[in-house]
Amino acid sequence: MSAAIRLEGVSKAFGAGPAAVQALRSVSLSIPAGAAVVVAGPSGSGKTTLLSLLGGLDSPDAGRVVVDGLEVSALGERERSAFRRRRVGFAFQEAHLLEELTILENATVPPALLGLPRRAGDERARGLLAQLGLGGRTGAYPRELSGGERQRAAIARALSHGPGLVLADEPTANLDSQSAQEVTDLLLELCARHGATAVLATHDPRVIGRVPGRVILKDGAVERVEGLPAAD
Amino acid sequence: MNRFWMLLAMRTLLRRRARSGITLAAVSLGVGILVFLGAVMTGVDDTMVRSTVAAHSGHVTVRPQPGARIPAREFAERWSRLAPPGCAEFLAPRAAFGALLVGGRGTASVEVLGLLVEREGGRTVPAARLVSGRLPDPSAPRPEICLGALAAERLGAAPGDTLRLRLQDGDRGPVRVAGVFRTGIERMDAGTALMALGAALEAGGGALTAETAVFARDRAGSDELLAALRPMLAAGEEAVPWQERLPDLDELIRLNHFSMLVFIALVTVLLATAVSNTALISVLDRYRALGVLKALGARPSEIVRLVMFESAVLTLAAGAAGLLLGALATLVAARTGIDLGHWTSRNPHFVLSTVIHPRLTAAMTFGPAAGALGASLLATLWPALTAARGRVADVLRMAR
Repeated sequence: MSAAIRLEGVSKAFGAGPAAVQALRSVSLSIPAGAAVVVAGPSGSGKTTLLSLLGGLDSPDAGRVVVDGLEVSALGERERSAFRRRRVGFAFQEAHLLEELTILENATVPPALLGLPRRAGDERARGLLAQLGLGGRTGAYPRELSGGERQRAAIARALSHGPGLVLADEPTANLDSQSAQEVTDLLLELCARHGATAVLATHDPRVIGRVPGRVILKDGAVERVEGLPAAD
Repeated sequence: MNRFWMLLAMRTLLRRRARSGITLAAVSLGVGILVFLGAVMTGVDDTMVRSTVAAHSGHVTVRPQPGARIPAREFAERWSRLAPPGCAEFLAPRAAFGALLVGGRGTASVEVLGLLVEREGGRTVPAARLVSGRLPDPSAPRPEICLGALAAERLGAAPGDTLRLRLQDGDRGPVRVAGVFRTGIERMDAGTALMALGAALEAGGGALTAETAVFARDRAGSDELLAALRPMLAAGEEAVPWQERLPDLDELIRLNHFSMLVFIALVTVLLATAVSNTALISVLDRYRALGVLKALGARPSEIVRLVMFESAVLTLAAGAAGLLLGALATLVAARTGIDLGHWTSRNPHFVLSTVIHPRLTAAMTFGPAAGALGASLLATLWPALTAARGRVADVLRMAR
């Protein structure tokens, strides 16, 4: 089930005193369930911090983060852990697959963490890997794959437990142009097919151009929103 | 720990073969050495107990209780007729009295020890330490004695010579020197003379005291022997274990055990440090991977369990290998024996033999492996907590 997202006056700073860096300044935003949104902006604009708050990896200094009716910003560490396990899929810039595990085993990590039956997790992961063009490489280890293949495996991992929200942080940063387009399209297509809200943080114009909803950040604040309803 | 975490732990250990292998080798070698040294210590204890009780009063001594009016002769004759219980190798009734031996060159004050020659010959000290002649013949027409070497020197006596035996209440006539023994224990060599039990009972008269030394079979414990002997005791008799008769030996063995425990503890700490170091390096090496797992929803407790499980598997494998190594070394050494004569030839606790046979005991076999496992788990706790404590919010930033 896809997740609707609402941010209300969210601020986040790192460090203290004069050395403090204000990563986000009173960000308010609303993303409807099932939407695909790209969070764009230059380096240091607060994209990764925004994704961290959405995914319950961190909590804001001020404001509220609500995902699918659940106020993530009010949750404790244990509850945030459970929230991530159940509702969020992550894809990182460098894929960050577990080198000890095969592609299939990597893709079944979230279902395993969730305690889903092994067979169900395997079937879903195999299906996703096949859809991502990795059906014949399920027994390969990450080191045996190209950058594009690794990123596709990471997308399979992000979706394998059926999350309502998929967060991807610079998923195409290390890919060539063709792979970047393929990965972006596959990610958006699979999120749409599985009914997940997709939020991609990037400054890659090849990705920005392919996503209808856009949130442009600058210096930690929302500069403009395109293709999304305005926040209250 | 579900299948996923076990799979991840095993793959991690296998992927880092060199590091896992070095730790495994270090821990297994340490455990192996501890198992072997424990077996050697047990072998030393066995030899000391065997030698010392052979030179004194058996594993258990049966004697009349203080104040009990049991005639020594009656006591010795009754125990001569009794069969040993199953856990005892043999019963050695003895009768003793103080006497003066008079020879051509002088006199010697000795304790004459009457024993069943056919039972003790070759088995107990001093009956097993003849340097010349033979043991007294119970059927000889004239009483025979076997002298300690120092007493023989003082008397100028040799096998075949005749001495006179005097007690406080009078002269008992001539006795023939059948042999000379040397134990290395001065008190025994200078002040003991062996005689056949029958002859001693005749000669000792009212000066006799009697007791029965009971020797255990197959390392039967004192408690087992005491329990088996209890129904055989007559009124006024008591059974005393060697630990009570020989408290110095008991303390020495306790000291051995304590020293070994200290050594085991020190080696275990070293092993635990090696395992902790491996775990810490492994955790720091995988800091991002563990962070990604946490980002995906792994609980900190699951990360702790993962790291602990890896350590436990490594230590268990190393413990098993070390145990096997130590057991094999022990089996080989037990078969050949280790001669400690260079260090123990003048030690009264090795009077029967200086050769030890290492022996495995449950505590000394499994103790080091269990200790290494426990210490390793404790030592892994810190790296595991370090892994679990990392702020998951930093993961995305680190992962960029």
